[in-house]
Amino acid sequence: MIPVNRSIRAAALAAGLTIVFLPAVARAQAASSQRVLAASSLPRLASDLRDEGVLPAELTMALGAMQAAKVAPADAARALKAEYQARLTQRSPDVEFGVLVREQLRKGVRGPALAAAVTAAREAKPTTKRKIQ
Amino acid sequence: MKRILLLVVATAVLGCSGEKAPAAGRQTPDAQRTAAEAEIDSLMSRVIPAAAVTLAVQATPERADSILAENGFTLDRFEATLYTIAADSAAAQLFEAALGR
Repeated sequence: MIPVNRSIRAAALAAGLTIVFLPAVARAQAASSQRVLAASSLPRLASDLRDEGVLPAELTMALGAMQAAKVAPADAARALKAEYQARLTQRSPDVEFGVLVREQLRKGVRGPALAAAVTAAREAKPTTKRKIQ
Repeated sequence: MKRILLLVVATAVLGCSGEKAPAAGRQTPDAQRTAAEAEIDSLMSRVIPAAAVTLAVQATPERADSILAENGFTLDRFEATLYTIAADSAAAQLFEAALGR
């Protein structure tokens, strides 16, 4: 049997560990950067909705409810995009976005299903009237 | 230099934002200025680090965790901060301005 030098064994071990763990570390970093960038998209999406006529109080309610329910920012971003898209296509700004999100969260809707639920709810009641006191 | 630029942007944003108008009832101009400066400082202290993290992560996504740590954030804390910024129209505008959007 050929004796293996200790330093060669250490190098081989290091290489093996790198091969095993590097992809995992890279995946973790990728997940972190995706979470950072998803969260960073929220202010722009919120501004777009305000520009589209959503009342600031409605947005505050929706965002507060999603944060309290620990909705991932990526899913929150999807919900904001769904609302923006619904407003662009349906032209029914009377639906209360904050109430809508809160209702869905109360029903236990989470994840990407939240955006789908926002779209579905907007299609189901496109003419809900809002009373501004 | 960038901080001065952002201060100017923040002042403009707050000046345009109806939500953040101070109760100017009986305040002297000095008191009003102090209140406005405090408000800008508070806004900047939330927005600037978050914008710095966003820009750095956009540039080097593979360093996301270290960038967060260098700016005093955990991932959860960063997400909570961004929720707060998004909910405040003045903060959201300042954040977007800081990112150059």
